[in-house]
Amino acid sequence: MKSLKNAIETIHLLDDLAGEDTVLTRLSPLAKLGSLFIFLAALASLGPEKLTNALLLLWVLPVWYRLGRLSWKHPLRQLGPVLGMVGSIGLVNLFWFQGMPVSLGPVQIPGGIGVLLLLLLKATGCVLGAYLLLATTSLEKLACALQKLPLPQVLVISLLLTWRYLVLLLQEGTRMASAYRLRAPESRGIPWKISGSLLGLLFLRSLERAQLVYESMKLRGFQGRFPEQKNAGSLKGDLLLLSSTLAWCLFCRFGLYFFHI
Amino acid sequence: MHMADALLSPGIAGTMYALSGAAAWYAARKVKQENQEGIVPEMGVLGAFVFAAQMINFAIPGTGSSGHLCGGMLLSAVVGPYAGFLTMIGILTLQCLVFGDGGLLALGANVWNMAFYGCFIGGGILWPLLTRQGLTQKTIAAASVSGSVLTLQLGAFSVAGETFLSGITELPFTAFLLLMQPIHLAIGLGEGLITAAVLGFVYENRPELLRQPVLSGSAVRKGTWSRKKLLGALGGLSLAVGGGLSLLASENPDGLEWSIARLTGRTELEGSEQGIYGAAARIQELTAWFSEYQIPGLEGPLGTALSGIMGSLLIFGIIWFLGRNLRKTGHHEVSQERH
Repeated sequence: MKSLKNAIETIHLLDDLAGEDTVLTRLSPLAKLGSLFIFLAALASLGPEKLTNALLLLWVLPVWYRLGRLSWKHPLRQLGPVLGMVGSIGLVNLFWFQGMPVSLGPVQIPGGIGVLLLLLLKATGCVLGAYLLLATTSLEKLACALQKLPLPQVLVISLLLTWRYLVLLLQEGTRMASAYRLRAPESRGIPWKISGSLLGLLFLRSLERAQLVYESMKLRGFQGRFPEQKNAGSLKGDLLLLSSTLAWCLFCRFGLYFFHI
Repeated sequence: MHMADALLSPGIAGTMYALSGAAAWYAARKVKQENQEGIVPEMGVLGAFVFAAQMINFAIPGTGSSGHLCGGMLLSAVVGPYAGFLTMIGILTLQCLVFGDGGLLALGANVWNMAFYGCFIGGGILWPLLTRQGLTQKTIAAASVSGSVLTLQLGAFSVAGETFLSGITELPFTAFLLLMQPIHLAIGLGEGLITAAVLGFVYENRPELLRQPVLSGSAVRKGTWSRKKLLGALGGLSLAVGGGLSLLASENPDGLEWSIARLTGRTELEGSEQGIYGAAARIQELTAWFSEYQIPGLEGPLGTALSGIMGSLLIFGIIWFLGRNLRKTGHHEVSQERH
């Protein structure tokens, strides 16, 4: 139940953040998505011998977070479970890795520790980067921008509708879970036996709601596509973001070689 | 089972994006062809339902652990595998962007591991297969549990394969599999029980909502292949694999031979020529017409290809012969019972 409440809080927080007026929220969603993909691909392509490059590449994140006026507190909380999972795989490498020591700046460290550090850095960059996208772009804007790409319309619309009804169903789930706990205060967790009636009821209510929603949408003139939102972002800003990200990633990926770092 | 970006190389992530993208394109086309576009709001709300339902964990008896609903199976049982697959993509995208469950670069891999198997293998093949005699609580439970177990096993295998191919872990592939598969077997069982309970409840209250199987003996659906066409395609595929792809087979020893070679220095063990071992070896010498995948007097690639084709034809002949005789025996028993 705690996870349900956390999920609702996260969604409200992201909605609020995306509604603020910052440099990043004013840019086009596709420019932000493109920049993020360039950053993620550059980060994921780095091998253990490029540990210094990975560390340098991550410096783009504080700049982005500053431009978006975002706090680190919430994304760092999301980072915990991911670091745990990736770290456990990295720890295994400590025992199995038989490669050469790697350099972290001027310091040489054992290869196994290098691989572990690299995995942790990659996980950190990827989680903080993905958080940045939705904290500076509302999902409605992102979905409308995705409609311009050659993606199946049915996919984009179902994504948007899932987002719109998510909070409603999470709240309904929380209510049902609380009701069960109040009726059975000594029970440790919700037993499997009642999962059928508990989730089944939620399911049937959701379906009824879906049918009502579709009828209302049809009555209001829905024809399988959402109207495009006016983009407040400037082309110059979008190009600047994309080109600076690309330049930084190329420098961190290949440029350090020329500086013999 | 959500994979983080850190566990994938860009090459593998891109390949998985391409595979999942192709599956999504095909699914969207099928939804359009089947005039299912009216179910888009249903897909949206069901997506939100699965998302919320997966956050409610249930205690699994006897294991001390908890599990949640298997979304792919449930969605496929209600809206079909194609619409279910597209809905699952939406759920996985939101889980990645909002909650950091799985990376954005790894989204293609996560869609493949969790949505593709769940919807197309579990919902598209197992569900109609196991409920073909009609929907009952038993067939629903069998389809849900076996579907969840199988799709989670396939997903776990893919996770291990993708991580290994990305060169992320130094752990040997088999050791990684041994870590992944058993734990997902237990999770799959738990998820299957919960999915069965939910679908069973829906069946009791609103049976018309569940996808009805095509009952045996009914007319072949429009767009599906006839038995002859299917057999022809499978036969052609078998011959192509046996005769063509067999030429590309690795000459390295297989897993068992490799293990034996590590222990003894040779890929095969010498058996005793006496007793039952010797007798079995002599019988095998007589029956092994295509020993080492070669035809006597025609060694080389042509011999390998021909032995593959002849092997495929031989197996087809044996199965056809057995099937025909079994069917005759079945008819005979039924007619005797009638008399």
